[in-house]
Amino acid sequence: MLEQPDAASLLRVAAQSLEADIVPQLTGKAAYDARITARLIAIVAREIEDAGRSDQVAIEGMRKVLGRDDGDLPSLTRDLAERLRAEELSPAVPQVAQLLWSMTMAKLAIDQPSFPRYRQLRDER
Amino acid sequence: MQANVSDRNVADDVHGLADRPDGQTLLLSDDLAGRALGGAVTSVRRLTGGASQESWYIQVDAADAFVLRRTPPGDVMDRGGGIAMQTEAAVIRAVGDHGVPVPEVVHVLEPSDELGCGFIMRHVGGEALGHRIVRADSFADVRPRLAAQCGDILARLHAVPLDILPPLPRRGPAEAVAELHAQLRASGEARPVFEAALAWLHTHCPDRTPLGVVHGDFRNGNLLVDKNGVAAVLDWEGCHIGDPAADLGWLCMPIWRFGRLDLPVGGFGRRADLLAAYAARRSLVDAARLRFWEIHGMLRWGLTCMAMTAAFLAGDRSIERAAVGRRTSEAELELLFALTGGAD
Repeated sequence: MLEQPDAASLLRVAAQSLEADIVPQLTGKAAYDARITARLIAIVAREIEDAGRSDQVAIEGMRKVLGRDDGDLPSLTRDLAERLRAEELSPAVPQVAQLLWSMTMAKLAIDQPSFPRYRQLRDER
Repeated sequence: MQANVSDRNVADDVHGLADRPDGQTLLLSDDLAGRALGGAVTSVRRLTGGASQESWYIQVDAADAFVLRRTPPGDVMDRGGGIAMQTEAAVIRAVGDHGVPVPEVVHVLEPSDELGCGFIMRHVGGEALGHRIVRADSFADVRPRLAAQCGDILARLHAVPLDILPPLPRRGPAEAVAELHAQLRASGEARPVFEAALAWLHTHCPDRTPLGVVHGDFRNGNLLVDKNGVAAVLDWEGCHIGDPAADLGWLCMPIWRFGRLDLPVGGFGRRADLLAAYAARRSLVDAARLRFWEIHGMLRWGLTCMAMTAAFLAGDRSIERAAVGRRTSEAELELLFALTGGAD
């Protein structure tokens, strides 16, 4: 058992420190790179906090829509992609749209929760 | 054919003028400066930008300013499928003669200049950073006029006769969809939302559209804006012959609204103003065709982001590529929004 603060907390404070304390002291490319670095660190913090939950939800959701009781994330995703490509499934079907929304919103929650469209839709949905 | 993946196009925050810390300098001969720029070089500064394409700010007689864009001698040019620099220079000159605001190209580099491939333009003052154009108080008066100006500019561009232009790639709607189809297949990635978008594009591809010269990357981020409005349209390397509505669709994409989702045209204006100005000089564009190009543009953007991840994983481990790769999900969200009837 490791010490506290835990991994996600360390990353969050590292990202905040970069953004609030270090970036203001930099200019030009260094500031630009540091800002991106802070963003990447924050993504990892959110990924750790997610702890595989969104993958699990995606797996369950895809199995239901695809009518399968097995399959890991890559094989289910491939199956779903293939059926959408072949137009056997379509986002015009509410169940399919709901699955794609759920998977995509979960990605944005980790990748970029401040993305304008994500914020707009999260408040509405 | 690859999507246009120049670093300037994919960077989230495009950084402006800055000094290069490595002390690199440009060897521009006095003879060339005298002939092409009308004086003696008094200062030279590298502008930040993409890896293989350089931009240099050149001051002459401590007064006139120029910008050199080039691929250095000996470097392999990677324009991501865009047109050659000499072609770009010829396009800029040709459209400039037809009322499109562009920088003045004063010299196209020749082998004897020993500066590589490229061209020198007279520097145009103004702001190119999209988020500043959208947010700065200094542009509060001009912002409401920008959408109409863009409509007028695009109408002038799309009217440029093809016979005065250098040979350009031809890419109508069907070719544009085929290009994205090929990119997605070649990637080998399982992308449910992208597949749904591609299927939609195949179904809704317009079959006969007018052909005209298309800028190919006309957006907030490639416009130089001053207190009067659009002073110059930049970055013509994506220029091709295609459906002119592609330029209108690209301009209205949510990803270059810099937080202002409620102002679809570049985060500064309304579609009605853009299209009315375009119609006044040229023609009406139907909503379905526009929607096709917006969805095409969003998929094109998503595939560009996805290509950044592939480049990173293949060994180009820059934080910029990593960060942009993670933004692929943003394109998926915008596509899902558009495909399920979302509109703004």
